[in-house]
Amino acid sequence: MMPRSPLARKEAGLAYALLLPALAVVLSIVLLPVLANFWISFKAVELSDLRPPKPIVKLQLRQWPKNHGDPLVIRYSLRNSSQKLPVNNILSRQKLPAGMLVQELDSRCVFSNNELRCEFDHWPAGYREKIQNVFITDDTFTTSKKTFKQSNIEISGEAENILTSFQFTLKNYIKIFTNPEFFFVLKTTFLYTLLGTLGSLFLGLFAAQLLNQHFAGRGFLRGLFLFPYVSPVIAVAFTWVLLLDPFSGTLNTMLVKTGFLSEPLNLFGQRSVMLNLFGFEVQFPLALSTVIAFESWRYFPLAFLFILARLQSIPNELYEAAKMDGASPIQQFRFITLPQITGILSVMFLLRFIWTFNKFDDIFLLTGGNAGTRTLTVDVYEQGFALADLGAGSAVAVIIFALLSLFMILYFRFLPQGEEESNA
Amino acid sequence: MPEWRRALAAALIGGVSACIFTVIWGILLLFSGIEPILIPLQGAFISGMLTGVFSEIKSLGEAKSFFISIGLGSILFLFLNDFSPWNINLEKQALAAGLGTLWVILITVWSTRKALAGIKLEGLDRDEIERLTIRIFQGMGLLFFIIIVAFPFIYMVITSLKSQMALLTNPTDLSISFESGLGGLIKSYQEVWTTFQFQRYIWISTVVSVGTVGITLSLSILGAYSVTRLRFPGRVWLSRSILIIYMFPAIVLVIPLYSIFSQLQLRNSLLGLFIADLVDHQKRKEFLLLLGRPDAALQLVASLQIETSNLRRRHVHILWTGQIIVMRTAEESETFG
Repeated sequence: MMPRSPLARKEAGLAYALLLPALAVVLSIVLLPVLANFWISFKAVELSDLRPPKPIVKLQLRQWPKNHGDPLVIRYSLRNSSQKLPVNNILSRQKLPAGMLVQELDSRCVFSNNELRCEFDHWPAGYREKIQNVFITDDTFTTSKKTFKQSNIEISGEAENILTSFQFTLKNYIKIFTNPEFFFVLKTTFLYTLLGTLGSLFLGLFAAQLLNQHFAGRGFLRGLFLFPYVSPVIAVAFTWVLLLDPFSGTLNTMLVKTGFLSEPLNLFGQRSVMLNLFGFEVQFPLALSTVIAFESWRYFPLAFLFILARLQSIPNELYEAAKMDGASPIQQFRFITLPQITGILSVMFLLRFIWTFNKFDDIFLLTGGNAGTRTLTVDVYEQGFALADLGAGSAVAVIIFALLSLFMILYFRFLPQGEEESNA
Repeated sequence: MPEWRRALAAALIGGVSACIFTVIWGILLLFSGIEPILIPLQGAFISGMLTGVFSEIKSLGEAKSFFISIGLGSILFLFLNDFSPWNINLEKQALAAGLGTLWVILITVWSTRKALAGIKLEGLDRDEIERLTIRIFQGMGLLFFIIIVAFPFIYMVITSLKSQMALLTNPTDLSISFESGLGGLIKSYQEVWTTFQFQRYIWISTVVSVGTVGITLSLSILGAYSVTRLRFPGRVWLSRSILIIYMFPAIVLVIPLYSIFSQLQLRNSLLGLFIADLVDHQKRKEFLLLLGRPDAALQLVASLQIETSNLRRRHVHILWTGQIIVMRTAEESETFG
């Protein structure tokens, strides 16, 4: 360890100062929500719990005075908005018009300076009560029935917010792991991730090989090949859905008209088709395969670009030397190109694996997670919002997080040496 | 006569390419509203094989054998299909059938010659066979990629120029009708603009994206500078942990953010959208890649961005195509309206 000079300390100070704003933003929008996600996953929170329990009061006029001296009877309907949690220390305040005198008052209410204050200690969950106050009016009372009804009642209470309380439960995790569907979701996720990644890498490698030579229109094709990657997911997903629609989609109609299919295939909506392979009946997962094809199609340009960049940096002398030695084109590919691009291929594999694993919007837009295409990320949405169980959704998110951490460890362990150095 | 191996190769290449381009022409006919009843693969294969062989008879001279092979090939193709290829009557729809025949045969000759150029096949030379195989794969590969990449985008543009009704009645008819004039063509665009308040969405998108990109860039440039140019303890650790954060899926953040937004009543507000966009994966990608993988990744991403920046701009026009936007805005106005 070198002794640190004042100059080095100054440099480090500047570096920290420059990093501080970026780190503060990352901390507040990424790290804190991740921690909050862990917190919520140990709580029994449902979508409706996001509205904290509130005391609610409604006013009803039972009797309106016709003459001075007549009684004015007001009934208040009180209720706790929550069916699960109590509300404590409720205070209700209502400004009443001049000219009202108390005749009969609920024991928890006081009337002074034209203000009616009612205090309640505790309303249990689902609490309902009706109380009645009777007043006498004198000749200063001039308010109309309509304005009286509109008079404002302020009510407040203290309720425990389930998000900030210290009650924890393992219920969410038990619910997730005891559901047999979860393991199907897990299997789907890994199939989708692995095949989607391999598909996009394979297409990317193929495309890069095609464009790694000189011909007219190469620049145009290179631009064209990036289209799927740079276009917004919503546009391409809808195009695919339109194109493959079983009833009004161009592809299905075309295949039926030309006689390749006897009836249209619901490529995004059908879980599986029976295939007859050499006398064996095979269940072929249709919707999942289509989604994987979409994934490979949409992300091959990324692999294509990176592999092409690597291919172009391979020195030509290597190939010339190989030609001198009599190597055939396939031998050149096998013994020169492939070893040269292993590094970028493995980095792309790991990165794309992680990104595909995290992918939510593609599947959600194409199938909504139906027909056997529900992956873990779609399951978070399904549990949290479709089934309104935020706790269970968070628990799935925690599982994603755990698996992802595992991938990250693998990523750093197997990162090729050269990449690691440039990373450090 | 050419060497028999070369003739065999020419026959195979010619036959296969004639089949492929017969299918493609059939699909094009379908898209243009003409309904071919069948794709004549058998006739295409046989005439393609013979065309391939003719085109390789070099003893007649380059130009002569070219014209002879095209002439003979076309006649054979028509003859084998009873003079109505794709089941289109040559007399009634001469253009569709005749042009199709010419296109199939021309491309067959061209691709056979291209594939066999400089390959003698006098003996079973491994180098030559591999070169030939690779050429065939390259040709088919280019065709495959061009179709899978370009077709969805062409489809997107065409559907935006057609009415929903026309698409539903005949989904394979992708021809653009000029009967109702320019107004009929851009009806979807007008509808989006007038009925669905598209300006408002453009405005919101612009405000949010300019704002978030501004924040992201200004903060991350500072950070990236210090990570790449300055030395300080914990630099490696920092860039690595930033990379880890960058890998978090947005979905892990959705539930907590939704909960917080609900309680702060930020849902359905511009500020909420702003924060959500900042959290969004795409933005974090640029943000954190700049910080996280300074040297190698920075260069790669920079080259990626240079390549895409132009395309992205070009792509904005495609993004705004009618039908899809109509659906999208309709859905949005349902959710938010």
